Amino acid sequence: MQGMSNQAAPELAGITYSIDPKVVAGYLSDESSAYVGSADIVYLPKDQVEIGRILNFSTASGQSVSIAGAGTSLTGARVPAAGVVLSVEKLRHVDMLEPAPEAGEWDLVRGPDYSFRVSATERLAVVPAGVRLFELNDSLETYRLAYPPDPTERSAMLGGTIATNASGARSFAYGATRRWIEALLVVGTGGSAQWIRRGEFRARRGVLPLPDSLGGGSVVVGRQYAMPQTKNAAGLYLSKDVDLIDVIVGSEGILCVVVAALVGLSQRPENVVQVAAFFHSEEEALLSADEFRPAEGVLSIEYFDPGSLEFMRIDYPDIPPAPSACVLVEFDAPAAAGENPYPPPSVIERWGRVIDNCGAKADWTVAGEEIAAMKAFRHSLPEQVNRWVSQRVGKLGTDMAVPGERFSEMFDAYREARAGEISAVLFGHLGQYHLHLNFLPEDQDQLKVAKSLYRELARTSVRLGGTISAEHGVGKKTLVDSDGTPKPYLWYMYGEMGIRAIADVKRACDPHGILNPGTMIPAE
Amino acid sequence: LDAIVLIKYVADIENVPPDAWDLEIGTLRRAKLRMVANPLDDHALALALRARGHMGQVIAISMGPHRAERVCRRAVAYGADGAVLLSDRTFAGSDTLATARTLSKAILRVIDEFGLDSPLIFAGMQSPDGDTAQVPAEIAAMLDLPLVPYVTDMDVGERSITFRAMERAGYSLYEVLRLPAIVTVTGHAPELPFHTTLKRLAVASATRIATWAAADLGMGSNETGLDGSATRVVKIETVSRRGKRGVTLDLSGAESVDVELTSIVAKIVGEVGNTGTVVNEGREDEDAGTGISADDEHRVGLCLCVVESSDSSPTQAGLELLGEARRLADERNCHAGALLLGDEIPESAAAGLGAWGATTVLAVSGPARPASHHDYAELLCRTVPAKEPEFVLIPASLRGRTIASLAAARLGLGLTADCTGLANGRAPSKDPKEESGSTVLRQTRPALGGNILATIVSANGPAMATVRAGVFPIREYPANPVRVERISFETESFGDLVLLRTETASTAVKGADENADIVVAVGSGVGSRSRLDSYVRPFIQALEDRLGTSVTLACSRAAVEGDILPYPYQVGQTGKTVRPKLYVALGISGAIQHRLGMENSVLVVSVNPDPEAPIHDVSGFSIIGTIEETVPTMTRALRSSFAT
Repeated sequence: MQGMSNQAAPELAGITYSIDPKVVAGYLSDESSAYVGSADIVYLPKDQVEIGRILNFSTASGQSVSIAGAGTSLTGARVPAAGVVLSVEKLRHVDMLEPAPEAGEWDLVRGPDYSFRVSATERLAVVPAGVRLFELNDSLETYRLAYPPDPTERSAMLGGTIATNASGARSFAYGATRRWIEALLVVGTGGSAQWIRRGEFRARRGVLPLPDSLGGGSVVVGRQYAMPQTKNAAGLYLSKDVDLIDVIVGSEGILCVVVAALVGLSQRPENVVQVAAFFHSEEEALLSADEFRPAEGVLSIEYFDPGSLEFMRIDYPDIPPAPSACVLVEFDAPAAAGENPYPPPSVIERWGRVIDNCGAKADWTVAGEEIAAMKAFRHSLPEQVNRWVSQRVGKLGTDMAVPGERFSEMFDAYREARAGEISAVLFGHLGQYHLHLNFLPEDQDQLKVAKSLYRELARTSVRLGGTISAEHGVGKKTLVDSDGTPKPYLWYMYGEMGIRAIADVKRACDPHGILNPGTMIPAE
Repeated sequence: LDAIVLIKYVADIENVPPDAWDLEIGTLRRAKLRMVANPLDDHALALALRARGHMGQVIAISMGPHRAERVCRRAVAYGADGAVLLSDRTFAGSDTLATARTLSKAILRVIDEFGLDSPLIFAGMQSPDGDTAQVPAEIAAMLDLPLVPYVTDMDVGERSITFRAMERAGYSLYEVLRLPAIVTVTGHAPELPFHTTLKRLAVASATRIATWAAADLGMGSNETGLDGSATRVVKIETVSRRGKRGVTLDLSGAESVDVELTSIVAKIVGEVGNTGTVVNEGREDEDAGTGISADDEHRVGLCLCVVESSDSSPTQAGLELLGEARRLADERNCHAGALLLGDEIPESAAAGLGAWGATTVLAVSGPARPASHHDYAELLCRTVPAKEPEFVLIPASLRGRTIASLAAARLGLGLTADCTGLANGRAPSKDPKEESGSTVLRQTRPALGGNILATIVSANGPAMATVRAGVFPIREYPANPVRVERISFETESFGDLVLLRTETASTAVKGADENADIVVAVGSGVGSRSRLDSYVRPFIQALEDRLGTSVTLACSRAAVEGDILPYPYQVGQTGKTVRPKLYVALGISGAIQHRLGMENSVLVVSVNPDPEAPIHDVSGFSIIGTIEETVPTMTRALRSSFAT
C-alpha cells in the first residue's frame, strides 16, 4: 500500500506513531552514520498486541518493517530501506506484557519510567526490550546483581543487544549476550506473540521445529554451515542441535520482533581492580595476556598497541615513553578482611609477579572510585581517533577474531597491514583474541588501499578458522571483491551455501520477507 | 620534609546516584549517598607527596566511622607512608571546633609516634558536605601554627618553602618562616594522578591502619563530640529540589529550533525588563528602614559585624552584613556596630557607615603595613572580649572565613559558616515547658550541597557567623547618628609568614563585575578562546544593545583550567559571588561549587547539551543544546526587532 505516506493506516488506530520528517530522520541511521535509509512512518508500540497489529498490517500491505532500538550499533542493521520503522523504545513496562511462564517469587522493580521483574533467588529478570542496559544495571544494584553483557554503549536497549548478540570487554569472563538469555517473548510476522523458553525448541539431527508464532513447522539447519570456534557475531547461530533461542539471539531482527526477555543475572563484581601494564614491546605484552588468561578472577584483557598509545598520550602525557604497548587487565577478587576495600596483599602480589615476569616497565592500577577514571583513559583512544578522522576521510576498522592457537599468525598479518604508509591503531579484546585494526587513511587513495588490506585480513581470519565480525555484526555491510564486484559480507565466511542456509531460516519465519530486508543477507 | 594530610570522609554530593532522590517529595536520602574522600583532600595529598620528596614521611589522618578506614587505606595506596583513623562514638556530633580540637590532639600524637620532624600539614580548603572551610584554620589557632589558606601551588627550596595562595583579586606569594605550619589547598593545586601501582596497592592492603579513640588522645567527653561543641543544631529541614527548574527546551526534540529559541529570548528579555523592582528589592528601604529605629538613647549592648574595605571603601558584602546586623539590633534594642577593616580608612568612610545602618563604628588606626589574616584575627580576638557583643557577623569572603575561624578557635566560640538566614530567638531549653530567658541568634545555613537547611545556635558566648555576599539586602538609614571609635592596630607577627609578593590581577584584568545586573558565564562547554570570541562575545554585545545595560563576562573553574579565561572571571566557591538579575550559563555543568557563587541570581538561563547537567535544576530557562546550536540563533533573536 503505497498511498499511506502521510498518515497512519486506520487499521492501526490507537498506536503511537510519527510521520514528522524530523522525527523519522532520527531512525534512519545509527551510531556509524555510514548508512542512511528512508522510511515514511515510525510506530512506537507499547505492547505485543500493538506489534502484532503492525506486523499483520505490514504483511497485508506488503511493506517492510525495520526494527529500531537505541541506534548504538555500527552496522546499519536497523537502517530501513523503505517502509515503516517499528521502534521498541516504548516497550518499557513489564506489566503491559504477556507474563513470563515462570513460577517463583518476583519483585517488581520500578524506575522513573520503566519496570521489570527480578527473582533474586533464581538470579533471573524479566525485562522489556526498551529498557536500557544502564537502567537495568543501576536498578539491580540494590540486589548486588548485574546483567553481565557490557557493550561500550550502556544506553543500548536490551532488545537491540539481543538482536546483535552484543558483547563487551567483560565477555572474556561472562560471554556475550547469548549466554544470558533464558527465554524470549517474540512476535512473528503472523502477528501472534509467544514466550519461547530455552530447551523448548531444539534442533535434532539438523531439523529445528518452529513455534506457531514463527510459522510452525520446521526448518533444516546446520548443513553446509560451519561457525568459527571464536567469539562471533557474523550470521545466524546455526548447528545441527541448535536451540531456537540461540538462533534468535544475534539474528539482527530478520526473524521476529523481540518484545521482552527472561535474562540470567550474575553476582555483581564487588572489588574490581584494573591494571594497565606497560611493556617495552608488543611481544612482552602478548605474553602477559597468555599468563593472565588462565588466572583466577580475570574479567577482561584489553590491548593498546604503540600507535594507540600515541593517540592516548594527547590526553595522558604521562604514559610511559615509546616504545610501549599496554595490556589492561581487569580483576575481580574478594576483598581482604574488615573495612579493607582491596584484595589481600598475597593476591595483588601474585598479579604483580606476572607483569614483572613479563617485563612490564610500569603499571597504572586503580580500584574503587578510580575505575571511572580508568574508563575515561580507555575512551580517550576512540575520542582522539574520531577527532583525527573527522578531519579526514573516515576510518575502516576490522572486527575479526581467530582461535587462540592461530592468533600469532593473525597478529603477524595485522603487523604487516599496519606497517604500510596508512596510519593505523591496533587495540581491543586481547583476552578473546579479538583485536580491532582501525585504518586511518589520509585520502581516498589510501582508503582504497585500506579496503584491499581489510579484504586480505578477512581472508586470513577465515583461513585461520576465525570470524570477520566478532562483535559488531553484519547489518548492511558489503565487501567489494578484488575484481570490483560487491559481495555479501558473509560470503567471505560462509560462501553461497551458507547465505542460502540463513535465507532458509528467514523464509520459514518470515515468508514474505518483510522484516529488516537487506540486513545480514541480501534482500530476496 | 615530613607532612601530615587531613582527609575527610564525605558524602559524594557531586555524583548523587539516581535512587538517592526521593522523587515523590524531591528530597535527598542521605543514607543513599556514596562516601568518598573529600576531592580537595586529594589535591592536598598530591602537594604533601611533592613536599616529601625522597626523604620525608607523609601520614594521613581521617576522622569518622569505621568505614572511613577506606579513605586512609586509599591515601596509602596513592603514596602516604601511614595513616591513622580517629573513630569513637564520643566524636559523633562534633562541630568544627570540636573536630579541630580532636584533630589537633591527633596531629601532636602523630608527630610524636611517627617521629615526624616539624611537618607541613595539608588539608583541602573545605569539604563539599559541610562546606565551612573552618577546621584547618581552627587547628592553626589551637596549635599556634602559621596558616597559609587557599594554596594553589608550592615550591620547596633548599632554604625556604613558598606558597602561592588565592586572594580576592589575584594571588599572594608567602614564605613560611616556622614549621610546623598548616596550609589549605584549593582545586587549582596539582591533581593526584588517578592511578597508583600494584605494588602500592599491595602495601596499602597490608598496612595496619591504627584506630585511635578519644581515650588514645587523652580527651574527655566534654572536649569532643556533641558535648565538646560550641554550636548546637536545633533544626534540620530537607530542601525540596523540585519545581526549581522552569521552562526546558530540548533542541533534539524541538520542532523548529529557531522559532523556539527566538520565543525564549523574547521571554527572557521580557522577564529581565520587568525585574527592576526585584533587583532593587533588597537595596531599597523596606519596613526596617529609618522609621522604626529604636530610640538611640536607649540602645544597650552591641550587635557587631565586620566590614571589609577595598580601595578605602566598604565592600558591598560588608554593607549587606551591616544592614542585617542593624535589623537584628533594632529588634534587640542594641547598637549596630561595624568593625571596619582596611589599611588606611579615611574618617569619612567610617562615618559614612551610618547611612548603611551603623550606630557605632570601630575603625582601625594604622596599620603601618599590610595586615595578614593572623593580624586581623588578633584584632578580632582583642575586640570581642573588650566590647562583649551579642554576636559577630563576618563576611564569608576568602579572608573573612579565615579570620573568623582563627578568632573563633582562639576565643572558643561557636562559628556557623555561610548563613542564609539569621533571626533573634529564644535559647533552646532541654525542658520544653521552661522558657529560657536569653535571646540567641538562630543561624540557618544550607549543607550537603544545598540539599538540607540546618538551624544552629551557639552554646556559649557570642555567636559568630559568616555570610556570603548577596544573601542579605543593603539597607539605607539616612540621617542616622553614628559614633566612630578609633582602635589602634599594629601588625606585628604576621603569623610567621612573609608576604613576598602580591599578584593583583585587578589592575590588568578586572574580571567579572560582582555588582553587575547581567552576567554571561562560560564553562568548559565553550571549548576555547576562539569560540568564546566567535560565539559568546557577539551574544554579549547583542544583550547589551538590547537591554541597554552593561553585561559582565564570567566563567566556571573548568573554564579557568581550560585556559579560556583568567581566574578573576571565576564565579563560585573559590571565585566571586554574583547576584544579577540575569545569569546566562553557557556550557557550564553547574557543579555545587559553581552554584554557590550564583545561586542568588534572580533569573538563570542555562545552555548545556546534557539534560542531566545540574545547572538546569536551578534555571528558569533550560536549553538542552550546544553553544553552536543555540548562541548564534539567540544573538540573532536579540538583534531582530521583534515586538516587546
